[in-house]
Amino acid sequence: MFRSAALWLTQRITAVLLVIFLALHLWVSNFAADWALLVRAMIDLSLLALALFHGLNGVRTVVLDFGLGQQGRRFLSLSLVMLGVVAFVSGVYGFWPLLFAH
Amino acid sequence: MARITRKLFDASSDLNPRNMRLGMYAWIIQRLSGLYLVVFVLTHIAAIAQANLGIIKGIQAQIFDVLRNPFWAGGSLAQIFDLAGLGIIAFHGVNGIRIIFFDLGLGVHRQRLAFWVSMLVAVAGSACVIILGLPLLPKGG
Repeated sequence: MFRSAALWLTQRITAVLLVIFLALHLWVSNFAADWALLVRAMIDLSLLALALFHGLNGVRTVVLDFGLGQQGRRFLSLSLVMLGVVAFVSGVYGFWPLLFAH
Repeated sequence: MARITRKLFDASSDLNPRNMRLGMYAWIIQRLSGLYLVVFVLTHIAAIAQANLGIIKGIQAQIFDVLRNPFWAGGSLAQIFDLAGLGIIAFHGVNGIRIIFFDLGLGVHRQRLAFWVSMLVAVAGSACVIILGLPLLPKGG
């Protein structure tokens, strides 16, 4: 499968998962204090990863629709991957104290 | 810049309002709301991280009170941002599901109807979140 087709499909799959995880996230952050901490952490961190992938891949789609050369495409993808990794790590880092707060 | 704008919006362009129909507006709003939501997610991460890392200074409870109640209670800009986020997430989500249905070959000839049905679902979903969330408002806030 071409990379762009794989990304298109992944965008659809993450979209469906996001709807499910977003509902779980809203429930978990307000009404699920008695759920196992690990479960709550897994839900929130999965949502974080899914949202970052879906969002940044969406930005890539929007920018590529304006037309970019090979060089610019590579630069764009690399920047978005770096932004995603940094955002995910800072999300996990910010989430970390919660795991030990109880 | 002027050349690009002219090319984007000239009489034969899909983006010229005269040529735009419901599906095109949905497409544009889907893109703009998507870009908004990327900003929303990044600021949300920053806010949560600050709340959690601020445990020592005791601001965690305060920040979570604000995040949990995006209803203008404190009148801060962040809360309006969060409430707008709720509606925009609802729109982007249901419209995205609508598009996935078409990709699966379902309802391709009922796109207009599907749009208004999904808008109804978005409004109902946002209303559910707000109604469930209202009791969480801090007393007297």
